[in-house]
Amino acid sequence: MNMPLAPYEVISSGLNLFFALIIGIAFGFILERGGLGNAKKLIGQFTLTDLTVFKVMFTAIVTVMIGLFFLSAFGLANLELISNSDTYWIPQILGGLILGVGFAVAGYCPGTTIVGMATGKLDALASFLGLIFGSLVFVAIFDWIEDFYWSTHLKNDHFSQVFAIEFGTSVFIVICIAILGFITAEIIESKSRGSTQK
Amino acid sequence: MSDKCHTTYINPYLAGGLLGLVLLASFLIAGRGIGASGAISQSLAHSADFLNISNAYLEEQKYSNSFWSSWIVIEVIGIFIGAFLSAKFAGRIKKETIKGDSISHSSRLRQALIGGLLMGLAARLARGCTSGQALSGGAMLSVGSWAFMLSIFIGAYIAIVFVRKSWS
Amino acid sequence: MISKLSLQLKVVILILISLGIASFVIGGKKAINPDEASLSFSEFDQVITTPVETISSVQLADYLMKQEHHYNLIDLQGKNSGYQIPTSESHSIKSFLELKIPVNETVFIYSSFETEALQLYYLLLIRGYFKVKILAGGIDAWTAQILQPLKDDIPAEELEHRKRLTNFFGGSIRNESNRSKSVSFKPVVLEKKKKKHQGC
Repeated sequence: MNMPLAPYEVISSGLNLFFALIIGIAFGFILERGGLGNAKKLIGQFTLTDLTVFKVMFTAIVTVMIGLFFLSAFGLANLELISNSDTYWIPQILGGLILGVGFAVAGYCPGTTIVGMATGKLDALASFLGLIFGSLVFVAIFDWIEDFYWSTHLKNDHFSQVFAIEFGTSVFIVICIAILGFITAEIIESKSRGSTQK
Repeated sequence: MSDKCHTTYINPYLAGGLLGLVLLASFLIAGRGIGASGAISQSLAHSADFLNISNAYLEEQKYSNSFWSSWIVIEVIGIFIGAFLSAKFAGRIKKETIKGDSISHSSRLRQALIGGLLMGLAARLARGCTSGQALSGGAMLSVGSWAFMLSIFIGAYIAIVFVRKSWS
Repeated sequence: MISKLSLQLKVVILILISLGIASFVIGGKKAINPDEASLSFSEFDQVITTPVETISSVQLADYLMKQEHHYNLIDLQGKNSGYQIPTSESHSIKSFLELKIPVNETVFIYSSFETEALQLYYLLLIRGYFKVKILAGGIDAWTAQILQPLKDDIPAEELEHRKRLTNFFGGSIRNESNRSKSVSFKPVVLEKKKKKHQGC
């Protein structure tokens, strides 16, 4: 089997776009079902009352990671053809910090902004307008920060390459971290629920 | 059960697993992850093209020949439709502003606008947002994506100290 | 503490642990190890008997002139080559294979004659590349059809198009009278699209 399909040109670019729509619909549907279109639920992650964001994100990451690992190990998918941007350490870390602040202030991240907007949340609409302005600001200042944008580049940024361990070992380690994370999340939630009930 | 207080929403582990399968499908079909903020920058790139504005960054961001053939734009339109359908079936479509009790309607909207602005800027700087960089890149085990994800949580936990009031 | 966890989470953790151990055991093993992979006779026959994908000089010139594609144009003429097609990269068969570019890249190969190009062509095919073409007739065909074509050889309806190509690549169309004269070519600067990651 030649996967990923589009890079192997098994499917046409038109069909690929059709799947883009389907994948988007499924993604939006599930995000909304999980409650991720609601700023109060999202912000619960940071007030430590509702850790849905963490649980959903980590379960998704672990699912994909395991899926890709086994498909690749059995020769069903060629991971080299999956596009993934290289690492640029400092821009990415700084971007993460700013995005985190924006997340806590807005109550949405960019993806969930779309979800919130689709369900009629006016604050999500405001956040969406903010996203557009923010992108425009970046475009406007790009000339000044271009050097910074391309700085601290790391091309081979896979866990197994950076830490010099086997692919399977890194999968194993991430699974262990996820399990510990899930248990911790349940403990934090049950504690916060206990305190609000008193 | 952990979800007693949110009976209308599905179990987060189930949601995460399903979301993972969708993302996996995206990797296996399109050979790329799911994103969100990229749709905005690519739309900007195509509008700039239309208006004959040239910009180094937007030129860099042009991945497709037209707006309608941009994978991520179509995908984000899908997210909108999917979220709408889900909320429709669950009877959750409602024009409302989600906010804490202690904050006025207009300051909540202003806050969301500022937050969005910061995120829009940051997502471009980090080459992706929570979906495109943290989720998709994280699943590909890219160290930069994990550093980004960790930074999001650090940034948000610092910021929440200052904005906690507006959410209570 | 564990007993307080919900049943769903317990199931999730159990599945994760088993998959985690399985991945640890598999480790870094790959389904196809390039050093141990082998082709059977029938697979080899299959590769060799499939018609070779070629591109004519005119098609290649059209393709390059558009300057809107990402491709790898590989020059295998070796050290003492004179003229190189614009945007080509000079390589030996070995040095190109060592680049290990992704298998879905477009590759055009040319050499003085077709032989070296054909060698690299097959080496790429068995490695899974599927967008490889060799320049039909090698560099001589390029010279004869693009750089200094004979006017008499070009069909009348093609003349305008061919003139454009020849001018673009810095050559000139010859008449029967100045047939033997060798012309010097103007160097051309061509742009090639950079490969991009799909934006997220």
